[in-house]
Amino acid sequence: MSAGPSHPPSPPPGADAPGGGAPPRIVEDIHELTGPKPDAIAPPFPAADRWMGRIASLCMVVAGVQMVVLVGFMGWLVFGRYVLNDTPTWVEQLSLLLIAYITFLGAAIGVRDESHLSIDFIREALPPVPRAILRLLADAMVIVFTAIMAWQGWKLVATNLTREIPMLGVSESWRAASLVAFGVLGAAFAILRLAQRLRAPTRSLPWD
Amino acid sequence: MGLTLLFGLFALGLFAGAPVAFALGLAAVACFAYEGLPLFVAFQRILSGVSTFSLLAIPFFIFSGELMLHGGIARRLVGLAAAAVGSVRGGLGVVNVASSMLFGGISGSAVADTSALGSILMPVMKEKGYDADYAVNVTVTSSVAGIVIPPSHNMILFAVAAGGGISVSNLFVAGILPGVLMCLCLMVAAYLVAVKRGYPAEPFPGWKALALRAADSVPGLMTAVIIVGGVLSGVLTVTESGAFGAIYALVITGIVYRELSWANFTAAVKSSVRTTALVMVLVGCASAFAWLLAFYRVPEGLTGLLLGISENPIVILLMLNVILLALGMIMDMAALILICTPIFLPVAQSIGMDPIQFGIMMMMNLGLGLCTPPVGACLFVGCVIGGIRIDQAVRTIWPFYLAVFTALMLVTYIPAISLSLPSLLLE
Repeated sequence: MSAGPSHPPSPPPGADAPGGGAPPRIVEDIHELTGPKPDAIAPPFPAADRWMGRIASLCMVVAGVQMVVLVGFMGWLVFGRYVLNDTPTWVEQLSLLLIAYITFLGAAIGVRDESHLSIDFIREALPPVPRAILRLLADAMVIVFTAIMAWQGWKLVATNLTREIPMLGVSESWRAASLVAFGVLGAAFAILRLAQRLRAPTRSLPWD
Repeated sequence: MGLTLLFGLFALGLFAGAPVAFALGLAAVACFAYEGLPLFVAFQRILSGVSTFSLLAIPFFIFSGELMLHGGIARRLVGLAAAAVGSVRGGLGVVNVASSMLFGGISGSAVADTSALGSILMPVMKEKGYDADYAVNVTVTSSVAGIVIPPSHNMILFAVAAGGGISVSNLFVAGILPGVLMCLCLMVAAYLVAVKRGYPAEPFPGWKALALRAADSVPGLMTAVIIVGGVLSGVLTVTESGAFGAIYALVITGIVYRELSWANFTAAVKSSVRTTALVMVLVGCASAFAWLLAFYRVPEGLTGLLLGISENPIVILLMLNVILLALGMIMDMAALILICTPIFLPVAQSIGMDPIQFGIMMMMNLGLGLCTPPVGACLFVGCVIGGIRIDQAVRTIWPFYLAVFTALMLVTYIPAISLSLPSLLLE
């Protein structure tokens, strides 16, 4: 038998499923990974921060509904093709339009939540001053990129007004408008982040 | 000069800690401006990169995985694995690997696998006298299997990044044997370390209990079967079977298992929106970046460079593995698939490697990168759940790295491991 530590017999993991046992944790729940740094200050401009938070929540509601609708439509496509023998041809194009909005609204939320994939272990290991410079640079890069996206996205909206999305009968500009939405929202979120950081550049904010 | 600007600005963005997607996008936009190309073309590429029909499968896969995570499937699979393989020495280590093999196929995400299975298994392992570092090491490394075993949304990213000429069905089937092989190697490592440390075995619960747990897990496991089966049979496209899988997952977790509360459902939707947006915006920006890589003929240049060092395929494959492993250690998987595929796939093809085999090899390399410091999402999550520091985990993780590396080398140098199943089943 085992030479290891002896333990009273107990039911193997999962034996009590469903019901008891440790519930699986998701990454967002793990406070040690997402909690604020020791030198974090309360976010400056709390009123503006609250408003931006509300806008981000609204974006999440819109994108979340679109996600559920997307699943439903695609299910309808499969049902229509194999059960009704009548493929709803508009589903594919509408889904492509929806995914653009889910992506770009979600990407704007990601700017607000600082949840985009990034490599910050080098920056965060630096002393406060160079770390502050790099954090400001990163915020500035986001602002520049999103602002250019809003501007160029608007150009695409303007040039596609008369082009129709096949099967849907709406203008291609609607697709390009998702870029403008992301550009404007992302820039607004990032500008507030930069302003908050400039209040105390060498300290951390709760989301760092 | 344009190429220096492209990589220089991208590197500056990464160093500053800017989001990888925006660093790629900004570098691409700057190069469009430098080359005198209209800027809106860059954004048109980003938009068309996102609005691709085959990529629609990604949100569906992510949504199915989230529903399974929030809806009680993970615990059932652990129960099944515990009943099936728990009675060997160090049983819970082996159970951990087997659970990853089952759950990974459904979630398709190594990080979700680590957090879901780790939070169920690690407390039990510690309670039964297993050291925390062992529990973390085995959980973290076995989660890589989820990337290779179908359905995996990373496979779709690879197919898209490779230019659309690769069949997702082939990739799915190709991942099965390497995934199982990796799990077998990890089970051997888990067993040997357990014997060395003298960990106990679990009592066998009996065939009846095993059958009951299998029956309880079958509806959940069917999600993966439906998605993969739909694609392989040719009845559904990848996107359609992803949507069908998501609806099925909704029915199973909500109606059959009755564990999907409204709060769990909204959490799953929110999490899916976030993950989908992060991946898709990366796809869009990487598409503009990749267009410039082709414009500057980077793949041809790199192929010439590597062939100049050696023309021996064994050496070139080793170099590719080392580069991918090194990149995987510092950068996230989705970004690397999108950036590295257009650069390295032509190199691999120039020495006669099948693109599908290259894809599997790349997934395994980048997956191992998720378990290594300094940037390893799975390692970080595993250490937090296990309650140990990263250096404590890394000190004793070597047998498990060695196991994954052994599987990786076998997949790299024996094409049949990845290619025999697709040719057997699909041709």
